[in-house]
Amino acid sequence: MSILAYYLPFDGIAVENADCRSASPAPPSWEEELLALARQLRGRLSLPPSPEALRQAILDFALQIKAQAALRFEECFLHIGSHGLEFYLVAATPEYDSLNGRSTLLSPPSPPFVIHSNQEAVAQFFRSALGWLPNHTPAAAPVETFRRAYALASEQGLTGVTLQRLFQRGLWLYEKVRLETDFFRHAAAIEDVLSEVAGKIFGGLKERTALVAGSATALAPVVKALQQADIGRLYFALPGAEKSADLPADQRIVSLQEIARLPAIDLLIWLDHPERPLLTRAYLQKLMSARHNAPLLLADLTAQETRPEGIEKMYNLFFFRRQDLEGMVEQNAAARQQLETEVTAWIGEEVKQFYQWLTSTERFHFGSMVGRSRQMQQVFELIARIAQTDITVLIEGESGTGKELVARAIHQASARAQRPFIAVNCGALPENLLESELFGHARGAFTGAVNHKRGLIEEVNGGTIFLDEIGEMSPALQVKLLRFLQDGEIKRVGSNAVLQLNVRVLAATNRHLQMLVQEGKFRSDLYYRLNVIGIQLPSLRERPEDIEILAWHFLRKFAARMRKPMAAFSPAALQCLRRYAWPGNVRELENVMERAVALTGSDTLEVIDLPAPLRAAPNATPAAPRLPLKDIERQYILDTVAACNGNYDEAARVLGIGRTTLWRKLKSYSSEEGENDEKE
Amino acid sequence: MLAIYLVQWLVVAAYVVALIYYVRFFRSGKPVASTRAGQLLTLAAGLHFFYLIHLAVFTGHLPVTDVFEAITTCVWLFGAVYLSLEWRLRERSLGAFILPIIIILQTVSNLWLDFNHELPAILHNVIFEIHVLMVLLSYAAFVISFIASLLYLLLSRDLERKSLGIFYRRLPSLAFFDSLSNFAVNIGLAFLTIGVALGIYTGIEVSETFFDSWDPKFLAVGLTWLIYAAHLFFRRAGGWQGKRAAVVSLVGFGWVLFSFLVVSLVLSKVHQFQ
Repeated sequence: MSILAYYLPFDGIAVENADCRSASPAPPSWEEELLALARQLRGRLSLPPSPEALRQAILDFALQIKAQAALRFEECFLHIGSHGLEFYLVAATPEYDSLNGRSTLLSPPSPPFVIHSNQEAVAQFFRSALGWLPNHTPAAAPVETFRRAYALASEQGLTGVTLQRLFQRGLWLYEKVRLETDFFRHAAAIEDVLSEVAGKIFGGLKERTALVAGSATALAPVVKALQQADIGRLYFALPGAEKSADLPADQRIVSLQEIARLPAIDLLIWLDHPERPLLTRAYLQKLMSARHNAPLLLADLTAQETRPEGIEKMYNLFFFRRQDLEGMVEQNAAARQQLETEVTAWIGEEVKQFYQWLTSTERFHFGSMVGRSRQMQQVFELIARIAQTDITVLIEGESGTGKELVARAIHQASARAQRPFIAVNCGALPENLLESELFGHARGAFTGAVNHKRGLIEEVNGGTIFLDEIGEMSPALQVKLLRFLQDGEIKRVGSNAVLQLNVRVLAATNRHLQMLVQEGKFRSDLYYRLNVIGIQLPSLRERPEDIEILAWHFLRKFAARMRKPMAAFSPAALQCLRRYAWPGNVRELENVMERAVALTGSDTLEVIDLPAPLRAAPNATPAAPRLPLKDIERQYILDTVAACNGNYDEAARVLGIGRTTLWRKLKSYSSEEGENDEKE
Repeated sequence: MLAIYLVQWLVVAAYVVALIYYVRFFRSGKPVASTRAGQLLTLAAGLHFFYLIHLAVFTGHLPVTDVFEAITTCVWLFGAVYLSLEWRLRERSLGAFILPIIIILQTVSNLWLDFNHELPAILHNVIFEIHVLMVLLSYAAFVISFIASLLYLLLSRDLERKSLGIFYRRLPSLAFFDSLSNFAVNIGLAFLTIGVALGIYTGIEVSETFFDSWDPKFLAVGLTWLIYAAHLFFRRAGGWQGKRAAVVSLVGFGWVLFSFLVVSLVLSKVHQFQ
């Protein structure tokens, strides 16, 4: 699996107006499209872009990428931040790896592009989640554009398990940095420092009024910083009082003479201006006494050294010159430098962990085992851990939950992967037949045994045998199997020769085997011998968060097989899938999807394509087992975080708890997991 | 007997542990650390409350009859008032500054508190106990005002020097401390007024000649009242909000501390009731 990141910093791209997008003779490559898109966006981003415009741009492009590359990429994600444009691709095809992580599919990057692969791409992803890219100081709330872009990509089904994991870890990292360091609190522009200072004097700025006086050209950054700090009201005093295009629409413009009559002003910001007629001691004294000495922040952003006489002695007047603010920016930069090494180390750690996760899933990521739920992730981890041993495993789970897939996954991940794997359904054959199938028979052992025959266990020697529906096995065969499990020896039916074999046994049952033991229908010694490790597969209704991801998986699979250009589910259809109780589990879902893809006439799967029982699925789900309150809280919190797309603020609001409380709880869950890992 | 000694030192220990967490939070600014600090302070205040009840049961009267009993009650009131503010304002940066005062005063009280001192008969009086409680509540409020004013000055010093020191990074805003200090003085002054009125009433009840000789304690409290009343007046009328109000609050608290300890212990005759 390889991960690629294309990064297009806006620094290197000239602004282009939308109408300059001339009709090129040949249809442009995706790379040219991307460049053109970046040019347009750069123009829009000089003022805060409207979310709708961004949304539309991302959507158009993402769909185009998908149309061009649907068969080559598993997942892709386009993010447009204020610093640049990034495009992430996750490809499973090995051809990427063989080229040392460089792609042949996409043409090599032209100068404005920066391309990263694998570890570097992942690091780029995390830095982008922090809004911290080379030559860009971290923004206050970088994660917003990131989250929006991801939500769009996942709506369109462009993301999968890998990107989802990346995204969640990215948000986690962001939350960690935000709550445990001052990383985002070191303003790097004098305008930001100014609004921070205003906050330190006035607290919230919602009730405050600012007057910005000076030339219109230098306004934008100050206005932006003040608006981000949620300033209550803004006045402008511009020489000539002309309306400037850089100003937001509903402006109050006052003339310089009027300023004297505005005692309500709390922030007086003086920008570059040829003359400073009013910054005199007499004027300021008059203003302060009109304000009854309420605090006033006066910022002189002109480059002049001089200051009004006696201004330091004026009560409750906070005076900041440009040099002062620049000095504070320098102090911030020095403080941030230390933090940067720390955060870089965190990113490195996160990348390392991500790759551990990736390789651990890759090992059994074959066939169609898909699951992002906690239960399935635990199953995956267990498989990865026990595969290398020769331990007997008992897989329990309802019909259709994928017991055979688990067995295959164990086999594939074990040292026996190159040796044969045979699955036998013990319930499908009558007792005698099953015995000779498994153990083989000698010539003349019974009527019709004209030749001696090797049993399946013998055939699979060196590999793995999977005994499905082991609960159906007759008591006599159980004894024989137990003997084989204990000594590794078998005898063919009707023969006395003992064969020594090396076969790993995996067993599965959809019945409650322990109950059969209690009823005396299953030998307890065999049960304990089989159940050295037990894997309980959750039913699909116990892990509803997997329904969607599985549905997407099957949609792609069958669409490719039937050569249909399937692109999406209708929201209503997804709703039906989520609501249904799935008594037949994943197998039922697979069949439903196969049928739906075969029947549908459009490229979007609608409710009408689903079988009747799903369309009329009742809301009621069967009663769940009772759990301790703590587990329910944990599960509910994790679900809510997932449902909020990793938006921790939103999740905390929904849950009605503080952001720090949420963070503390999540942290304790992740450390609990760590402890459990160590115990096991 | 031993148990009560154990409990009184446990209270100090609990406050010290809470202080460690508050200081750690103040230095690192991690919100996660702050939650734990708040929990620990709540625990310490709970333990302290248990100690006060224990003391009341042991001596048979509310722990307000001599200066060391009054101190420990007052300390508990600081803690409780501060915790309620913390909960209300969601701001924990003050804890690291309030807790040292609490710890010092509680230690003083522990060292010199005499469990078996004889109680003059005249002090078995509900009105008298309310009088003391009111005065102590007002002192608790003045402590809050003191801390808020101190932090106001520290933050404003950072702002004047244009240096991004730890106070600049960790403290909320000048407006926050100014209004907190103002609020605390208002409350404190109200309690003090009620407390003094009740005191005069009890004095007259106790003996006709109580006010014939001038009690230094009485003068001290009168001056306290005047300082804080002036604080209120100049803030409203003279445009003294901010730094000047903060300085007045510091002066007021200095005087409170002086009158509470020195005047009660050394100068006062009448208020000792002996």
